[in-house]
Amino acid sequence: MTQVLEDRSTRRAPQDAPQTIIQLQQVSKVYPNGSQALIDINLEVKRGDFLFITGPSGSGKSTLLKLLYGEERPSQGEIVVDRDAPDRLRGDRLSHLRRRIGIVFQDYKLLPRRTVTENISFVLWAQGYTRKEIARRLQPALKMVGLTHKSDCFPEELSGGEQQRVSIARAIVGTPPILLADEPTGNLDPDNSWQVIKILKKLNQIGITVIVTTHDESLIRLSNHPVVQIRDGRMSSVRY
Amino acid sequence: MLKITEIISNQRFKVFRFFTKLDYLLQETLLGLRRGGWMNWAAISTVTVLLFLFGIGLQTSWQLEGLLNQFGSQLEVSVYLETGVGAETLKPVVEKMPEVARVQGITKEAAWARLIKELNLSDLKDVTRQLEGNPLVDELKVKAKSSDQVPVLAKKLKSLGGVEDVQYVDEAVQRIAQLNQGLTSVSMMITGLLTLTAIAVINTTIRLIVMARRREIEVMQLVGATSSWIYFPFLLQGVTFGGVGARSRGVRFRV
Repeated sequence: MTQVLEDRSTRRAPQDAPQTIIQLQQVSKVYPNGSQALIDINLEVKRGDFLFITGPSGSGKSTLLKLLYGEERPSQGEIVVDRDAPDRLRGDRLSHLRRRIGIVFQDYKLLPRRTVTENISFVLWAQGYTRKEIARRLQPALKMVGLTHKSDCFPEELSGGEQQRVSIARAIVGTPPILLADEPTGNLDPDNSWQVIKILKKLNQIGITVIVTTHDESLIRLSNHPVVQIRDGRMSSVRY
Repeated sequence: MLKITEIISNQRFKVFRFFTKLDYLLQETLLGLRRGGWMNWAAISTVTVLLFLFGIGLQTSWQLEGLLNQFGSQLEVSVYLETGVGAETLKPVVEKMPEVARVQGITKEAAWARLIKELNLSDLKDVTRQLEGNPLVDELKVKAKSSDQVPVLAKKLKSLGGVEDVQYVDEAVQRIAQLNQGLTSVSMMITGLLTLTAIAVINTTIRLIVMARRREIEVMQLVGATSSWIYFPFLLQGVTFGGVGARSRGVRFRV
């Protein structure tokens, strides 16, 4: 995986690439039903950062991530993700931005009738990779999350923690420079949660920019990465 | 040298990419068909039945049209002029009538030549001499704008100076023709309705299949698959339904 990822990072991030990979300026989001999800958010994430976003449920953490991968559009403000503006892209150009963003969800979103291998290679199929390239990338990704021995299992045969690790493998198999994890530990016990965080840290060490939302204070205390808090749609910095 | 290798590798990349697409499309379409189960059969049998009805409609309308053609054109009126009156002199007058769509003048010389040819007589001059001149008269082929104006037009043409006789398809035949026309338009309407139904049914079936696989589609969208990449396999599935439905209609009903 390291080798595959380094290929990409030298290609994707030449010397003159801007240090800031994600930037939000005075971003607000009001949903059509009138609920104010985010108010005047300013955030700058540098290439290779690891950032925790914390806050109670319903505070707007997920909305923030959705703005980054173009699922929602801001009511106000500017967003830049890897030199593109997700709120201005549509169709195929948005798809191409999404290929540079890996996403991990609380509910894993694995396809139930496909094996671990199929779930992971499905992403590469969907992005138009060749069979040969898929075979080359699959093993490193499985090894990274420690599931080589479960490659032919179906999702329901795996524990929650294992399923989440599959979804991480799926998110990174296309070697995106950015990884967004929305409550990745929300359904997991402390041991499994810590294992997931450890994998995310490892990915961060090979140069992937990682943003994790969580409401689990203990996880944040156990690591030394920057933390921002969102409360009632407003952002404040907790730890640099 | 470097450039040539570059071009070759570029070309190879394009070919490669094409095969990757084909590979993906076939695999996804087959997978979709295998997973579809009973929904496939629902779609295929619906297409079969609809194509059957569609075929009946089309055949009826064809048969009616054939019948119609047997009576010839009901719009045409043949005007035979008096001896010595040229087609060219009357043509502008007739062309000015409001009911007239088109006028074609046939001089007696042309008609004579054609007759001679049809009768297989070789020497035109010889025959003419024997008959002491051309026995035919000039003729105007007048096309009316619509069939119900034909009788009025015929009367008007007959009252013109220099017109010997007027001939047109008689009214009874015309009535049958009108009936046929009505039937044709009815069968066309039915055919159109059935086509719309077929489209709606296939559309709904594909939609059902899409609904059943919406999780997959959601994941595909999130990992950056383009929409054409996502929907092409579904489209191919639809084409397969149509194709298999058409084949089985042929097998079941053509006998």
